[in-house]
Amino acid sequence: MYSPFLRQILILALLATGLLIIDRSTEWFKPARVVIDQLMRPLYWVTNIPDNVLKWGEDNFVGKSELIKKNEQLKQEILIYRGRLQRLSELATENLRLMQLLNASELLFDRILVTKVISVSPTTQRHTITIDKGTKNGAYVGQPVLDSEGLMGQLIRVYANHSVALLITDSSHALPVKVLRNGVRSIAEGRADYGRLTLRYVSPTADIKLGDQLLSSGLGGRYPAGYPVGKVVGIQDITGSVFMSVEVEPSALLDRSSHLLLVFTSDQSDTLKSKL
Amino acid sequence: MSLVPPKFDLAFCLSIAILLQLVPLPIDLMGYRPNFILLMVVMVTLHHPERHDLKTYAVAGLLADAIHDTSFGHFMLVYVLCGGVVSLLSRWTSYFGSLYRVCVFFSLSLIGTVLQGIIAKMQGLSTPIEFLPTLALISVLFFPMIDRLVSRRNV
Repeated sequence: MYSPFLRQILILALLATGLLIIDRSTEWFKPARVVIDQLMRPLYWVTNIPDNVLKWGEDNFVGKSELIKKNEQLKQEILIYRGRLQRLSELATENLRLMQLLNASELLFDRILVTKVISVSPTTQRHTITIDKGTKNGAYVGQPVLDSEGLMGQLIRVYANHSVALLITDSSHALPVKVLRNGVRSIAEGRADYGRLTLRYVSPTADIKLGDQLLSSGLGGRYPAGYPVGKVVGIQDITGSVFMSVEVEPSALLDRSSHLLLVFTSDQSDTLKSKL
Repeated sequence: MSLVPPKFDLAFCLSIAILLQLVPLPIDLMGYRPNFILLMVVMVTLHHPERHDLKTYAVAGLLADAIHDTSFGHFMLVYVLCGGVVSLLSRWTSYFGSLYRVCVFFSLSLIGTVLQGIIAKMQGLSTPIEFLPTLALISVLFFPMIDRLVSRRNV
């Protein structure tokens, strides 16, 4: 009835669809992914050579005057941050005392580990990065990742010496947030754009203004509370919809940061201490 | 005649495509990166339609899934459907001049990116459609390079 060619297309298309469904709904291919990831490492290393050579050149071929200027700038920054830290440590102690009074068990200071980005997802559909820390350093699935400006994402796959982190802008990612000004809660969703997040289910009566700072609310238990997520840059009423469209610019420099921080929440810090 | 078996030459061409696919680009340019693996397989089939069937597309698709970290079957489906079109056209394209081949190449890269966008959308992944025509045009710019590479090898 069908030509062999058409039959071959049908069989292969059905096979592909079957694989797609199985991979989306089960974890059967997880071991295969681990093996593939190990095999891909040398390829990533090779393709990163031009980038690494450029960075090495930038680091090593710098004029003396430029280095002196940079050093001065860093000294000034340290001075400013030390000044701020003095005020912060006072506030933190006061906060801790109040929490103890309330019998709150929330972690005030998270343990952190500095890590480096070693590769970035080659497509725009998946916003993932690979970092140079893995299970050997105590990294775990679901661990929050930060840069100097705010929340970057969470680890989704952890290997011995490296891990893959899903960024907050990936279209499959959502995180609970709150407005710094008044504590209004919402959910910030990624939309495959490195410069934008969208707030989900915001009613037109919600007290959200342009310029409002958003922090992680800590709900859901995945991300610790209080880390900067972004700033509201657009509010729009959608005709016929019961919710508003709220656009958020992420605080973290998702497409630029090369050094990141892995945050250990209280439970994981204890586990790590016992392991070490 | 080359002493290297055709499969090694195909593996060589695919390796070049994989490396081009993985080379880090600035975020702003990443959306404009052509699907080099698909382009390479299409070119290989256009040159030697008698040697490669849809199984080559299926294997290349699985390879692309592994590289792009997408669900297995995502690129495989795109590649098999594109491969179907190429296989149907290849009987005629082998008699075509370069300009017509470029047009086929453009149309196939457009079909490939549209299909990929549709499958991604069905999985809830976002795909910016404004890139698609530009992406197909950029793919055509790589036509001479890929054509030269494939025609010199015994794929």
